[in-house]
Amino acid sequence: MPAGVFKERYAELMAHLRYPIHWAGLALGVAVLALLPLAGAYSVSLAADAAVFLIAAIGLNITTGLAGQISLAQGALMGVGAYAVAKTVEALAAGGHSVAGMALLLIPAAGLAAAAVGLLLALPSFRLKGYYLAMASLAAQVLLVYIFKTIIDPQQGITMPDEAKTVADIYFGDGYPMYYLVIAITAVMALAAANIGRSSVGRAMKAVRDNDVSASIVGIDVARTKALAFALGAFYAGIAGALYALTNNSVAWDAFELATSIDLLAMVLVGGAGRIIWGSLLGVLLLRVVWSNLDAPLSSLGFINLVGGVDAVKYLVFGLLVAYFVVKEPEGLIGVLRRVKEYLRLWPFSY
Amino acid sequence: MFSAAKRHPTRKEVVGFDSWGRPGDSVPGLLELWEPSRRYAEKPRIAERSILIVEDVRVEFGGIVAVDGAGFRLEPGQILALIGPNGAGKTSLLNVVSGFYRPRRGHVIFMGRDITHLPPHKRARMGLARTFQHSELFMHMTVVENIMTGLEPWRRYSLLDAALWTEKARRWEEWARWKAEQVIDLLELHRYRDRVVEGLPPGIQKRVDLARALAQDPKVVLMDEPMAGLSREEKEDLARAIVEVNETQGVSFVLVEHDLEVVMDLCDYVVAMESGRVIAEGPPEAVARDPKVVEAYLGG
Repeated sequence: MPAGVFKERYAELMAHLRYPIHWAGLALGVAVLALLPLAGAYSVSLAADAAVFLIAAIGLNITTGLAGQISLAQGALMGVGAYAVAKTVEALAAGGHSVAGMALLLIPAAGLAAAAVGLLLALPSFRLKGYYLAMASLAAQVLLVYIFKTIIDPQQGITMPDEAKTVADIYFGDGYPMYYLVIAITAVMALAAANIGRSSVGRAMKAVRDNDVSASIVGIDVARTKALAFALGAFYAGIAGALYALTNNSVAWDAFELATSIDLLAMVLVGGAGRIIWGSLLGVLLLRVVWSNLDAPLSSLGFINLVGGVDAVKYLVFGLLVAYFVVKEPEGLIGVLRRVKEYLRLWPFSY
Repeated sequence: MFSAAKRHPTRKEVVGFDSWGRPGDSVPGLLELWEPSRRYAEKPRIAERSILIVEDVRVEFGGIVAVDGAGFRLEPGQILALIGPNGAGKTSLLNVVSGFYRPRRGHVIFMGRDITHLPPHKRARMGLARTFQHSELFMHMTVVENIMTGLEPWRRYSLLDAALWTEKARRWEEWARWKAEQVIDLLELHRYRDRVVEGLPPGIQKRVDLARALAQDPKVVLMDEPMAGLSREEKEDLARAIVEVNETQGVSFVLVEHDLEVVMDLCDYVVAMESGRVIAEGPPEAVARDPKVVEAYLGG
């Protein structure tokens, strides 16, 4: 905290942007995001993909990081959102209705559909904790993917017509319009999550995470708070799923399998559980953006095939990384950064 | 001396609060946000002076009787101590009052309403606060956040307000923060305000625990061994805080306590238990001289 800055009102303490450097950071961030398309089509699609996963990770960070309810079903909940959009558009088109712009209009509905499923997932959390709750959500994940496979999407792949992604002659399926739309929605969702995190609702969730017995003794309805955390996390997953359906050519269930859920959980744990925005962002940057660009540099290493090839090495590193952060850095990357900041603030003195 | 006589239940106004602990005019515009919650509107149905009546409670754990027909009455503004050797059932009785255990028999009547079957969070909302022997704080939250969680039942804005951070949410949060600061002032926790609870000294943690309870505007605070594991100075600080809250705000206390010095100095009324039964009750001096109590403590 910069010295000599004194707040005179509680509102100033609660604001997101408290110091000049925050404003500078915001300006820099907006500038980078606005000018990113200049770097080419690949960076646009990479950023949009990262933004979609950022929304899902923020949702999981609310459920798991803020409220402490481990969920291994976030990937399947993304699927619920994606299929809610794709299936509805498909059904409307089959019925001969106009589907113009429907892929965009249905984004909030996808969130609500996933939130409803998330509420169902909250039911075991009233009775179960920790590993057992994780197992219950794992069962839900497997069950949901089974439903996708057998009932909703037996042909593996629903492709929405282009007109569903078109509003006022602007095609939002790829390119700049898609990028700016996704980034804008992500910004709004992130801001809302940050607001919930600093509100009394967020404090109630943290209270349930830290100690559910005392949470009930200070008058917090523990079951309701857990249900809210699940529904809210699922809502974010649903929005992310709808944006996935928008930005990808087709929606297929293999994108929402257990591996996705584990990836998302790893992003939250490695980035920083409980730090809903910055923790999720760091996790996504490392495990989605950097990760997907590691193939080329890794395969150029001569010895990589001696140790099983690129994929094997990535799996190994992924496992070690998650294990290291869970054991040694429970605060995640954000905790590491905080320590670096503390160190630099005092540098060159040790205290 | 009957200390009950010298401490009448008074509800002196604390600066900024009216006698019910609502914010006054000192923060303009906040009062209309604050609607009196249900517990203020609810008048006691039974014309009874005692604020908390615990009657004939029996608690069993698989055949072992922990509490066997014990009970007590707490008058408004009183500090009552539950004493007794280990395993006498004091904490079990307290857990029945705060709603963690369902008694096999008996009633808990709080402000004229039978709350025997109410879940803990609803009792808390009626004004029944509780602190724990081993502090059960929210370890990864700061002191001020811990205190503010006690205000969650009075949240007057929706999730949507929170997400959009509307004027309504902002003003409520300001009020909550201001309210937490009142308790911080009272218990002199200024230095620790923004510190994470984990790693604070045990004496401070106990004070934060009390602060969190007081933030809920309680009528009655149940404290399970508040002095256990504290140094002499920490004990004195905590005792001073309890007396101050009791005298300025008329909050009643039920203390489960082993430190008899504290019990003698602090309490108006003592209930002694052994093997789940009440063996003596009355003013502290009388109970301390009671042969049954002496035997229970010394004869084991």
